[in-house]
Amino acid sequence: MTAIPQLIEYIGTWLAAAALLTFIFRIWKRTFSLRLAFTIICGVVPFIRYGGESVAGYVLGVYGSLSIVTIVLVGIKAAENLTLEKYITRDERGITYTLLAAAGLVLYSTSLGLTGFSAYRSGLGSPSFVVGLFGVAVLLTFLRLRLPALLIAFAVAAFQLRLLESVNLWDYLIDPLLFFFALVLSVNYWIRQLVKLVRNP
Amino acid sequence: MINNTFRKKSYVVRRFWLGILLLAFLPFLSPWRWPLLPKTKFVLKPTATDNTGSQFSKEDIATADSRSPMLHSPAITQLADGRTLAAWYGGSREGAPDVEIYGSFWSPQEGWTTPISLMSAARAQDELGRFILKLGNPVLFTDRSGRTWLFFGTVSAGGWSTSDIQVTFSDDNAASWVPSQHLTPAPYTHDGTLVKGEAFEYSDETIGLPVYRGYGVHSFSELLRIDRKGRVAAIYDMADGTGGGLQPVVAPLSEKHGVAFQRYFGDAPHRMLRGETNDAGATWSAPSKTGVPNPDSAIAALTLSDGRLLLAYNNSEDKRDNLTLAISSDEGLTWKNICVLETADERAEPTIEFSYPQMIRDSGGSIQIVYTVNRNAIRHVVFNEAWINSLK
Repeated sequence: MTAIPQLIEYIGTWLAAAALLTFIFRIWKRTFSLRLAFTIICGVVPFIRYGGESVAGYVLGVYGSLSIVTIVLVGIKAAENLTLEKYITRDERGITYTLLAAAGLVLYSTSLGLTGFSAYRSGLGSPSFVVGLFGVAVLLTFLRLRLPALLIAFAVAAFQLRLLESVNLWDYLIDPLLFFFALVLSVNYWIRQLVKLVRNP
Repeated sequence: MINNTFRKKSYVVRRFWLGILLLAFLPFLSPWRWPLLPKTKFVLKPTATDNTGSQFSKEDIATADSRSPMLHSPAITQLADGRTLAAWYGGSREGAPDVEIYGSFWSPQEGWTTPISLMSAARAQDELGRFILKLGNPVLFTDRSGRTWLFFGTVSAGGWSTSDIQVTFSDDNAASWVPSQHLTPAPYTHDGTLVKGEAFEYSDETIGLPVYRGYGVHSFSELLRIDRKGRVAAIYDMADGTGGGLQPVVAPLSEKHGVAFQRYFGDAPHRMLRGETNDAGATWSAPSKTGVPNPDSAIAALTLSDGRLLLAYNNSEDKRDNLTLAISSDEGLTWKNICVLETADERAEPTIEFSYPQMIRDSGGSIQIVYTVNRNAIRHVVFNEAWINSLK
């Protein structure tokens, strides 16, 4: 594995560890300096070695490469935990996860070989996929849904720089853990919306 | 007033985000960044003239010992310096963590060298920066530039249905190898992809690598195009939504036309599958059953210098107790058996198996086959087309 994808993997594991461990240890109850120190210390987690392999190596081996979108989202979460600010509105988050869940459903269901079509193949240089993705990103911008548009821009920029091992654009946009996470959160979001609608018709 | 300010601010923000998006997408307009692969052609192996008369030889490359009581799944290639390299995996048992990929070099003058380790789980883990539990099938290929490729399966958790494929290559006749890289043929890791069939070359220097994926009862085949840096550049469907086919072998017949044969894992009758392409592998016809029996076992096929096809297979619907050679003059639609290379002693209990053949036609025009004998020996057979023609 070359140095840059490995560095990205370490950063992703660090941010994920920071977002997760902050939640587990309820670190938001502490002072800013303590929260900052904790976030920095979490940077050690990817390098902890056990059985001849680092935590980042186990994440990569067992789970696979994290997508750029996952890394940006856990980065935002880690920043929110650090500053105790909310950078994303509930609606923006809900719609982002809904879009990710929908994309994941198409991507993963068509990759099982049950039909001759696989959406994953389009990530390897299909002009229609790139044009379609650009169209979706522009539409999201006009709908003032900045988060999903920003995530697409980050993923595409990382793809242009080939920051991951893969040269498939899909691998920069989504990964299985993000898909399952997005699926659960989007269902939760739409149930809440429905309940709100029923209570305040 | 407030409304106007808001509108103006909103306009600026929107333009800012659109600018970011345009910046991200802009490189797609640049030809050097455009990931679209050009349409390409198969590279056909040059026809070598072999005037040496009928030749046939058979020899064991490696046999089981205390270090490797189990040997399986051999691969073969001819290196740029003319020597042959064979690789297989061996260890205490299939799927054990101590399994390594071994290699041995051969020349007609010097015979086979003592096997050396080409790859181990520990080495792969170190090179890939990810946890690796065990190793699987290797595939070797030497391209026109003299680069030798080694593709191999790995498992990080679970069994073969959670395998991945990795690649390494050598530019000095397999004396040294670059660090292994991970191939990404599916949108998730542990996608169950494995290699078995021989790779081939395209006119744009990409490599065609037939692969297969299986999830319990469903398995299917795909063709990967690997670029010079060892990355998946395109994925082509070989199954058309049908299941049951695995371990595809591709035999190019002309620059655009080729056929593929697959091991069959499905309902009776158990027959080898055949598919066809007319655009150098970008699209394939749905695989259909041939008249050739297949006991859910690997096959090997190649194109002879006169365009006929040669097949090595187990001539049985339920046993791997023989290894048979067959010839086809109609692009693999019908086959004629020409020789039984191996057959088990009927009294042997349990039955000896001959399996996992792989074949190449070398630069001298000889055909070299490697296969597993009862998973405790790797055997090498060399013959030429004059020998095949003498079997009529």
